[in-house]
Amino acid sequence: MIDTTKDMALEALLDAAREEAPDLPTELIKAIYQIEKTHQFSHEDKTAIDALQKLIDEELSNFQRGAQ
Amino acid sequence: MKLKRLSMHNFMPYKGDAVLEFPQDESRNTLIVFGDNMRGKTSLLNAIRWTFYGYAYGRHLRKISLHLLLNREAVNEGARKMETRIEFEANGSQYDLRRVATMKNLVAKPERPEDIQVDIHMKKDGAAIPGNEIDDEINQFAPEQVSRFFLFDGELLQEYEELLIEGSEHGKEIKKEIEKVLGVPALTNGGLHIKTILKQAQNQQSTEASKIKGLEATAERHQRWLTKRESFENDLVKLRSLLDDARNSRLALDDELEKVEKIYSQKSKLDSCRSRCREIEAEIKQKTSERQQLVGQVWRDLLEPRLIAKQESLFQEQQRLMDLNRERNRIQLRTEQARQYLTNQVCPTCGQSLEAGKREAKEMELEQLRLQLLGLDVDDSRLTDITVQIKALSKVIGHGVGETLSVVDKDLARLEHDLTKIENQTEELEKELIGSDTDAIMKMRSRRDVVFKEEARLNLEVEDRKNKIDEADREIRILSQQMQPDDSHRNARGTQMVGICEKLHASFLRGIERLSEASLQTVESHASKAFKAMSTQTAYQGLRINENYGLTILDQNGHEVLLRSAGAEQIVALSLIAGLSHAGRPAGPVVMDTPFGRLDTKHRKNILGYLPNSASQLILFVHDGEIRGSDDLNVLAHRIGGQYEIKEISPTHSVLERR
Amino acid sequence: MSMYTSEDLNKFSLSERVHAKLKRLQEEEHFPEMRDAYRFGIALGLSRGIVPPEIGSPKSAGIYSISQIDPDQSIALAINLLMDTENLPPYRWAERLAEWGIEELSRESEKGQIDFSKLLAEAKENAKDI
Repeated sequence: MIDTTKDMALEALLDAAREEAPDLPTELIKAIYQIEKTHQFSHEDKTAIDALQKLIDEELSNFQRGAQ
Repeated sequence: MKLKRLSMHNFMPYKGDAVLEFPQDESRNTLIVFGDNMRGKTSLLNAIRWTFYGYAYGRHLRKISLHLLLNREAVNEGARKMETRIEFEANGSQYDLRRVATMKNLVAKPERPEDIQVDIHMKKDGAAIPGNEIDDEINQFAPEQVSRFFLFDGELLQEYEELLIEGSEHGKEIKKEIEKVLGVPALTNGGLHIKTILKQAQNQQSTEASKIKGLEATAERHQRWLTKRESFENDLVKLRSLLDDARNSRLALDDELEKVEKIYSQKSKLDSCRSRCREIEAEIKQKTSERQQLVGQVWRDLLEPRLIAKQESLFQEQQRLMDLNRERNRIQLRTEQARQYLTNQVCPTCGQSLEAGKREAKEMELEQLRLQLLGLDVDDSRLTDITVQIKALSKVIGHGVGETLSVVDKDLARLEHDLTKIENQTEELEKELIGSDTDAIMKMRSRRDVVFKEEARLNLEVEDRKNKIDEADREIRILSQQMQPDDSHRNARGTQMVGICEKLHASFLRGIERLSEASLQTVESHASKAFKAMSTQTAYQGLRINENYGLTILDQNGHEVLLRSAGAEQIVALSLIAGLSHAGRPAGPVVMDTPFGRLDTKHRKNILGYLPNSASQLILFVHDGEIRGSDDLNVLAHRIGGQYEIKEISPTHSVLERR
Repeated sequence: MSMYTSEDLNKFSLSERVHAKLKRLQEEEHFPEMRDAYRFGIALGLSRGIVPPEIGSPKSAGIYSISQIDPDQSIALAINLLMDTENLPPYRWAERLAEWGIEELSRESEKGQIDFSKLLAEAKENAKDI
């Protein structure tokens, strides 16, 4: 049996991001997806949210450093 | 994931210890467990379910109360513990999962869940996993939310028929379950989490803007909208909770009412019978009274036949006497004429003279007439009497009531018969309804209607809040733009964070749509292949899926097959399971409990030939009627890795025996 | 024309034994009133052409007047027309018919509800033979 779950969901997300967020790095999208994939059946949200926040903060810091 | 062994101790009908070994050889990956109804097949499925998730299902997906899972016989003999254990392999590691239920101290016999303490233990490659991480660990390879697709109760096959019913609640629930299989939760949750971060960023943006000259008012409006939106969202959470409660309450009442529907309908019948009884009794009373009146008159009918006969005889006698009278009158007239002729020598009729020769003849004629007259015996008084009697009889005859009485008697007989019938029906219904509280049922119906209305109201409220939240989102976006009049403002951290989160959020929302479309196509493709392999109709093209994951059969011309047999429904449902297995979760075992109830022989064979390919391990719980011995097993023979039989020792004690 | 003669009786009576049966017929609701049963008894006897015997003793006192039983004299008419009463006045004949008829009804009532349809059908048949 082939486990196609990861591929289908990630591909769908990357496809959508190419249209909605072309300026955001693909690695960020993939990283966010991975966090969600890991916690998708978890009963609490805080762990995932904190991890996402951290990723986005890092991305923002990198962007601002680059802009400077 | 691969199951290795299931061990049970005092679980449901399995008193003492019972063990099920799962096949490990991939080429012989099928295990069959035979058992008649009510022996313990579903309990095996529940043992797996309870070990992984801590609950077991009874009929209609109702959870069985914890204290009812302990084997009764064992408890009566003093046992205080129940345990189930699954050893399995997943993601390259060996797992040992145990769930133990122990009666609390001072509890002699458990009567409620609170009388029992439950502990869970899990080891991964020999090392214990902390208690608070066990559920997450299990969800990696056997996610609870999708467990219905691999711990599969055949009785629930008809649920999938609901998917074809647009807008059905059950259909929506199943759709959600399916989307979980397909990984949609990863994107759905992602969208929600990003939104949470976005909100925080929006707050930050607001705070930053409020410190900038010229943007205070905009920032204030922005903050107000943020507050409003939060309020709407809080409302929405509460309303959804109330709506869930109302829906659950209504569904529970619907279930109860379904059970008692029969009672309600019988009560209606009983009321109707009683009412009809009263009507018939009233009719009988009225008819009886009518009858009594007729009985008082019916003596005349007894006399009538003889009186009519007498009257007929009197008529004849009267006629005879009247004929005689007429004859006498005729003779008298002729006598008088003859006399006159003789006296006057002239015919009184024509006036001719009497000739000498004719005188003698005339005298003889006169003599004959005299003799004739003498011979006539006319009793005038008798004629008068007869006339009087006939007149008197005509007043008496014709007043009978016999026919009317006969009709009334027939009506009464019919009514009595009907009354007996209805009384018997009433008695039977009363017996059936003994102990039923029909008033309570009426109240339950009323309550259900109230809850239904409340549910409708809450649905409207939920929609209203959603609309308000959408409006708030729009206003916030507009105001956010207004707080970025130039680059310096756009570069503020809060604003930049908002920008990133908005794009990420949009990406996740769009991604969900894309995934749903792709999932539908994938499920359709795999389900179609499975259907063609299992169906006996080789001409069929396959299956078509709708947006609720409902499947329709396409014939050789691509047209929808509208009328499906129960057997066809089962195959469609099994095809969906197979399709999901391929399109969804990580490879793993599928456990099926009595899936073949409605299938004919041909379909059984096709399905048995196909299913072992659709999972890493296939475990089938069947009763003898579903799979018929060597006939069906021949199809599976080369894939069977083990067979067991459930044997009943007593109604509360079953054992597993390897065949 | 009146059927009543001075030699005829003034009041109808029954033997005490049959009078008790008449009462039971009414109590058991075969007839709404006892006189209805009395009339029916007479009519039953007439329909079968019975030559009734004298009433047995002891006799009860006069129960009904002529006008109570035969107000329009149709019973007297029927007796005069249908029976050879051997010079017995019609109401004396009727009284004897009643005695016989009520015994007969009492026997019928032992089978359950009196089947009037059957009795009427028999009367029709009898009329052909008599």
